[in-house]
Amino acid sequence: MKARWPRPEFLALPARPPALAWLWAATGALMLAATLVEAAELQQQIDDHGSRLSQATQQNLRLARSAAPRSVVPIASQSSASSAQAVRAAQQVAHDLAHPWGAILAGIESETPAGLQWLLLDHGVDSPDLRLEGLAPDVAIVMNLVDALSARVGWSNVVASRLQAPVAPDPRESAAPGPRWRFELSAVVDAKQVDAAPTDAGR
Amino acid sequence: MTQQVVYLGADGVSAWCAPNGSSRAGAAAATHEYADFNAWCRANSCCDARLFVSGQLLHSLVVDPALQLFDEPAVRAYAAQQFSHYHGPQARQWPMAVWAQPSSSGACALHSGDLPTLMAQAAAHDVRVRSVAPVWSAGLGSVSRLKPAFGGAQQQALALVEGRRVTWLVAQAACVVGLQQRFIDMPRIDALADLLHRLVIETGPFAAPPLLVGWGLDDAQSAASLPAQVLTPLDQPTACAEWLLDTMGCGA
Repeated sequence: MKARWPRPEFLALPARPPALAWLWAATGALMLAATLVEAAELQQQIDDHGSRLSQATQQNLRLARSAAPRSVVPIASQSSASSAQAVRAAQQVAHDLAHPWGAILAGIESETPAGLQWLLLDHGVDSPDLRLEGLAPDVAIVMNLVDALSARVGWSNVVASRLQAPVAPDPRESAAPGPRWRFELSAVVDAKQVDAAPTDAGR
Repeated sequence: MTQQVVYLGADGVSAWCAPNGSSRAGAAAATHEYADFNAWCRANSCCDARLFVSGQLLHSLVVDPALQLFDEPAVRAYAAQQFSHYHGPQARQWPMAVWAQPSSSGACALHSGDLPTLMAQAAAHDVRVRSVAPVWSAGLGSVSRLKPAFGGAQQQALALVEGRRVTWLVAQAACVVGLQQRFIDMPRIDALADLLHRLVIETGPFAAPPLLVGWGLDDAQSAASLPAQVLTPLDQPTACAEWLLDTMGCGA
């Protein structure tokens, strides 16, 4: 056994820690132990929360996967609805284009006498009513136009619904034909008959 | 960073480089002599140092085991009272080194030399003093390894000779149970032999002759006639490096 000889020392070197140091060390050790225990508990809580979070995440993923097809359905239906609406719009456009616009306009043009100026044509595919506004040099021309349109196939109830007194022509327009009547005609047009009538046999 | 071992004698200072692990069993360390501690500090700045104080600068006592003083504060208080009683009130200002073992305790007082001044001189040269201890405690470990009976169950004595000053140490079970300081009239073998005879009679009997370590005698031719186991040449003018470095019997 190794001998432990005395070691007298003149310098003030503490040979061993004082009792208070041991008390401090014990207190520190207790605090350290308590801290470690608390840290272990906190770590356990963190692990629990982590596992719960993981489970919740996986559950959300499963729910998302299972909900995905259902979420596609309204999109598809919405898409099909839009397509149907587009189809209906296209069908409406085709239906509108099927209206005998050319025959109607050609009939009006063919009956328009010289010196008459058209201002407005109001007509639609949903209604047989037709309204015309224009300027004419005299009332006789308007009456003749009424008679001519009434004689055309598919045109009926053609009347001069309004006649307005002639207005002075703009002096800056040197080519103006003089004072003109503003008039309005209303008629009922049967689209099928107009469309079926031959162009040259419209009257 | 080198560590130096410094022996503070009454007439000068000796110093050695402390051995490290690889050189512990190597050649003897070179001894460097200085006029005083401040001179050594100037020549060895920025180093660590362990100081050993010569017995010529110390008063020592061993506490009677019957007093049951085995803790250092109690030993220090008792020793201060004893030194003051025998050496006067100024002894209360002496620095003390005490030890307290389970079955023995004692103290040494530095009656000569100004320890605060020594520390200031060391600090001025950036010398870090790690220890200041009595010289008799320097080589006890290596001697007990060299002579296992020393420090064993049987009491055995060791005489440390520093010229005319002899420190008589009685050990048992690695405890210092006796510590005396004696003078011889002349630093010679015959005077030492007479002293050893008296000490053995006064403090013995011992199972084995006392161990003898020392330096500073004028003659050593008849050292073999001494009633002791002589471990070092006694006529060396300077302190024994092996004792100070605690390398007794390590082949130096």
